[in-house]
Amino acid sequence: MRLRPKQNALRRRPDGRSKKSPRSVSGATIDGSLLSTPAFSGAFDKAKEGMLILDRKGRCREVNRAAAKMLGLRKNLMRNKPIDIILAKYTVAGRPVTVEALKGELLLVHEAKAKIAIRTRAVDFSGGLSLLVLRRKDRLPARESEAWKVDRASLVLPEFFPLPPSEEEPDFRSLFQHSPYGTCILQNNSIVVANPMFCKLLGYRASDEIVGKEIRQFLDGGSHMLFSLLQQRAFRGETIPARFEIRMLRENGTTIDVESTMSLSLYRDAPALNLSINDVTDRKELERRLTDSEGLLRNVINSMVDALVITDLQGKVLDVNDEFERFTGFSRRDAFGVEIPYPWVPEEDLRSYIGWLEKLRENNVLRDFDITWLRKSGERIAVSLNTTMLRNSAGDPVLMVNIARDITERQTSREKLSRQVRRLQVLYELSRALTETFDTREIARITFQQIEKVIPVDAFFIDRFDEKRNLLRAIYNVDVFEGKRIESDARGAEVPLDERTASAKVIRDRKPLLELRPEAPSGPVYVPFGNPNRGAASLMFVPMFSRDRTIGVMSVQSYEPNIYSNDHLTLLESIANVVGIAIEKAILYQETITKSQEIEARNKELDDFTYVVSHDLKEPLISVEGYTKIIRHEYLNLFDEAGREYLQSVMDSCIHMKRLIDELLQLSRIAKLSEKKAKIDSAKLIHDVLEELQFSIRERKAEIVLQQDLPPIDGVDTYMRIVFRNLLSNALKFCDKPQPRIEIGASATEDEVVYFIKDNGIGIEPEYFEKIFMIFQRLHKKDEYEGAGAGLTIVKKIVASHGGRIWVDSVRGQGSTFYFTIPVS
Amino acid sequence: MTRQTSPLRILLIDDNQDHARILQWAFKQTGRKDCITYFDDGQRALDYLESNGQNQGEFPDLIFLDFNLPRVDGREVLRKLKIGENTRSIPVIILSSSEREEDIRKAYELGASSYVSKSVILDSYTTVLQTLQDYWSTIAKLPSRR
Repeated sequence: MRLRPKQNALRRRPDGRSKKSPRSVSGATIDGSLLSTPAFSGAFDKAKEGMLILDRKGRCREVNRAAAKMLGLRKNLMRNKPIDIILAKYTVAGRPVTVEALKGELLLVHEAKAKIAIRTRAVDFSGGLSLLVLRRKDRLPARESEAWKVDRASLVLPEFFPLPPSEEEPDFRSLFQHSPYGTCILQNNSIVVANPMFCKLLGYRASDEIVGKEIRQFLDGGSHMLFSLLQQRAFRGETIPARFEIRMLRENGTTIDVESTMSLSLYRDAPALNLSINDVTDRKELERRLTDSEGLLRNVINSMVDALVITDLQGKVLDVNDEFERFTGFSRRDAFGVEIPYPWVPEEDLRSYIGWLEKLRENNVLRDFDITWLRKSGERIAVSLNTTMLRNSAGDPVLMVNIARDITERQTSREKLSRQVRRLQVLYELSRALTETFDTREIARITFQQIEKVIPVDAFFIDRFDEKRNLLRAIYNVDVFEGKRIESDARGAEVPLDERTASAKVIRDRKPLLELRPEAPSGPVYVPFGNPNRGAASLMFVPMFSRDRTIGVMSVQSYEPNIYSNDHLTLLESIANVVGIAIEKAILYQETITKSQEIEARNKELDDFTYVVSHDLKEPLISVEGYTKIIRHEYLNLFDEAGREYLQSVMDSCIHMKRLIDELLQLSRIAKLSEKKAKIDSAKLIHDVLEELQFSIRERKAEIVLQQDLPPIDGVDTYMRIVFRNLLSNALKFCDKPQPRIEIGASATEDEVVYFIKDNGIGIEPEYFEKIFMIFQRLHKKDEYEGAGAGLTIVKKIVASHGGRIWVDSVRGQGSTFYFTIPVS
Repeated sequence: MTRQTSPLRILLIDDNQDHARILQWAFKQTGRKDCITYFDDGQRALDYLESNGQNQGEFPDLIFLDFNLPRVDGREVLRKLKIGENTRSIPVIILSSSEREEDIRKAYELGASSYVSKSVILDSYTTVLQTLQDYWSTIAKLPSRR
């Protein structure tokens, strides 16, 4: 067992008034240095109780007169002797006494004189010392022996440890006088001694102002009961709290909160209470302010930037803060006592709000519940709610604290953003959808469908503006009436541009127009169909541009007044920009299609004409040729030499004309590939053609170099033969070298195969690179190089009809290379 | 020279009288004794054949038909010849100045037995006509004519 030092351990006479030596008690500050003080040793020696002070090793440091007498030994002999030696003649339950045994409470019996029995009680002190108290058993009162067994408080009972009078002890006196704790000694409920701090704390200048007065006088009414309770317990030697707080009255009538300790002592041989006090008024004040609902806490919750609602578990409002009043417009008075449904929670949100609160029963905190609140004015505000369940120390829920943050701004920007995203999406979808059609009406319909998603619309139209004729041509008109779309069949209808109309204005100004009317006028205004009883109240018109020309006007209208903003107008402009380009593209496409169809038809006509003409030419030619043959057979002998020569010329001309006509016929027949294309083994095809030409090749001693692994051709066999035949025969024909050399090759890419036929012939001057492909263009006199002059034209037409290109690269005198491509299908 | 075969009765229909004249000259050059009846109009030729049928007259062994005819087109004449009860067994050789693929196909589709280019006949008339006549008089067997 160990006695802990007490902070206000000193008990001494605070002033010099008392002439008698007070014996005060301390439990803790006894240490080695104290033992050597004359005051201590004097008091120690005079004490009635037999006492021994033992050190850690069990040696006797001090012994008093009573103890020496009791043990029948001289003090000097006992000092610094081990206690087991001192008590050698005693036994404990028949065994020799040991230091360890002395820690407890023992009955020592003298070996020789059985009458002598000593009860010991050891008390540990700080500094490793312990006090051994001895009493003769026969003098030990039954009641007192009980007291020995009690708790720690009883161990410091003063009769065990009397202290010297303080007058003779300047150290104690000084400590008492200058202690930071207010200390007094009470006897019979009255103050007998008080130190200056005690006086000061209670607002008195000197202790004589309070000494002799009842302590009750200095206690606040609220502290009387506590104090007398503790006082009684202390006197009975019962446990009391080491510290307790009481409120005391000061001289000026104010109160002071003090933390106190109380202990029982002896003062002038009579039981006394030591009361020590410490000012905790500041701390109490702080606590008071912190806990006071009208104080700091109120300030804190009012200084919050968030609205606060405190409710009971049923949701009944107990309190709100200033921000709540400002934020919602409901005053504290409005809110107090209000139960669910709260007027600031919109009806449609009530269910989810109650659900939210129910979740709180399982959680202590719920965060970020986005909800709409209604201001008292009816305005809607976006709120993010955080709710906390407050519980008492036992963990039971007590209150709900709702903290609501205004996120209207955040919500607004989020909405703005999502609106922006939606609009971008619409523009994107529109752009994508518009690439899939070249029909202007379909474009307009798609546009309307996309606009519907982002702009309220009851009527919509797109007109095309014909600048030359200054009129509007309807592309699409739609009216939404009772949820149904009524599309007008006014497509293509033309209306002269009326300068008074909004359409004319936006076309002239090249600027969008927003027209808001206070109410929908009766009768249709711009859309001449649909609901005949209502005209649009909100109207937007935007011009459509393409390559900086105004190509039309788009309008979105609603029966609702004031429904459009500039925001809508800007969006509509963006849409119009996309749509304008799409419409222009569609129109150009339609025009191109029409034109190419026309060209095709014209080409067909031309081919038919060519065929008919050449066929009709052929008929008389056959006659000429036939008659010439008859003449040669039947009448040749009637001709002289010149006549025969002329006849020969007629026949040659016939042959030439026949060839021209044949080539023309061939050309006219290539117009459209009637035959199916197929993969042609080009090596085999070229070999066949070379076979056909072998007579000329042999005659010209031509060298033919054919590339290995020629890629196949996707084409019509008969036509591709003509191509190679014509090109190769040209290469053989137009050569002035002793040995023509012809190289044939090809290279394939992913999309097409490029063939080339290279010769070392006469070559072509660059200016003729194009001209040689035109029909009946000859660069040479007929007698130099024979041929009708349609060969390359036929080749070009065949290549073109296969979707390929043909061109020539040549150096005059060195040779030419003809290239042509055939797409890979 | 020419092999002696039984003479053929040939009907020649050609609107181009020059061509017809030249062809008839060419036929003569073969040295054959074939009998050639000439019409410069398809309709008249058809009428002639029909009246022949009514009169129990003789039908030609072979018909040479120009494909491009005024009034009734050569195609129409061919079609009618090939549906006519008395005429459909008579081989028809188309003569044409056209070498157009679709003309040739059409001719055979309508039941022509041959398609011969006039130019080819002119280039080597004797050989071509000789061959034709020989073929139809000796090599091919024709149904007997009343």
